[in-house]
Amino acid sequence: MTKKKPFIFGIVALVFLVALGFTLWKIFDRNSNEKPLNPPEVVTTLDREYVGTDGKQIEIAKETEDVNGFLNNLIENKKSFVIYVSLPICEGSTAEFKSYVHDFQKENSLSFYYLTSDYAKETMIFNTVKYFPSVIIVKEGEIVKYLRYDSDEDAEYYKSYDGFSKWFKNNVEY
Amino acid sequence: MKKTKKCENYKCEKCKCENCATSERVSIPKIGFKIIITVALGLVIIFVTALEICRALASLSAIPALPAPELSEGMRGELGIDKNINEKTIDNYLGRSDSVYRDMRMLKDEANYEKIDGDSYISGIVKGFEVVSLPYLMTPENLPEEVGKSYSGETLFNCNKVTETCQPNYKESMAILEDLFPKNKNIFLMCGGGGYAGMTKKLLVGLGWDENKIYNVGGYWYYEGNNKIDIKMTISGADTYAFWRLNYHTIDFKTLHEV
Repeated sequence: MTKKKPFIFGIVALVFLVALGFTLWKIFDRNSNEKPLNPPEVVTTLDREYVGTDGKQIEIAKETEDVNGFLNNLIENKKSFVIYVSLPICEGSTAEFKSYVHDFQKENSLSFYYLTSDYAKETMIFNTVKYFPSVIIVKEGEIVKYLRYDSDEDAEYYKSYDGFSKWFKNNVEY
Repeated sequence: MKKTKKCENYKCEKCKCENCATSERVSIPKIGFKIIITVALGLVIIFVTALEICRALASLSAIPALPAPELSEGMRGELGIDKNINEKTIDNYLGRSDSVYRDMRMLKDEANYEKIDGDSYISGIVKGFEVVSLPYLMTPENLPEEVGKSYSGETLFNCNKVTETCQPNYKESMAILEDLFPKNKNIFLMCGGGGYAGMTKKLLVGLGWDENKIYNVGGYWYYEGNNKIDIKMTISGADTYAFWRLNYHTIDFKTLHEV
């Protein structure tokens, strides 16, 4: 019996090592199959009617009393467009953000829709976007990207014209 | 009297124990001993029970500790809005006797927020918050261009944007500030979107307040809790602002003495 003990111990150790190796292999194999942390951005091509304009700010609430219906119509028609939603109160550090967006529109001859947070709260936008101001990209009727006011990653895009320009060009073709 | 083991449970009447004859020994009555033990145990039980009751009462009246201030992510963090105590959670922290609650908006801001489809009036407030208008403490910065200038009258402090320091304009400035924002209490700050509250925290910390006791709760616009007090109301089809529902702190600058 005593002579068999090292043999049994060896078998157990071998099984343990094989199991450990298999587990590690699986872990590394799974990691290699995972999507990269920064997946390629979804690039949206704006509909032609928003491109080559004079950088118009289309204020939805001034266009119609039925803001929700107006937006729903765009969505049902699978439009690809951009909406800027403002927070018209004591926002402090984001006061200049609107001017970056507007300047960018003018320089690139793009039209965006404009809406205040009070209106946005009553629309499908608020199901996805909770903090404002934000710029929201809608591709074929679906929100595919928006600037997150509560995200460290997006903070730099709020702080300068170049920051916003970089974010927009990474996500939109026109 | 020297005792031996033999004598422990007996008492000698005539002589030293060791010399007692068995017939002279008298047994100590055990009933007395039992009474003493029972009374002692009773006292211990009463003491322990009283202690537990006191503890329970103390825990009922004790105010739970607050999480340390921690910044939110992103631009909300840049405004100084707290990650843990904010518009979503403030209801859990209302009514504390160790805290004061301040809303930093003006009743009607002189900046024209209607120009950007906002509201220059305070439209609502969270129950328990008292209004101390930031523009009376210092001149707010970074307002949207379109709204024009905010209040431009007297302020308690003059702040330098470059050096980020504030100097009192009146001899009473610090005393007023300490009265409105007691240093020995936690201070919860709100405004419309978090900007004025953030500026107030910066002002206070710059003037020596403990930053770990000041929380920027954020903006009333985001508040969805159960303690809303509506200030904007419609009567006979017209908008009215029920300022009488507010606890409002005013400052009479005419009575103050310039530095």
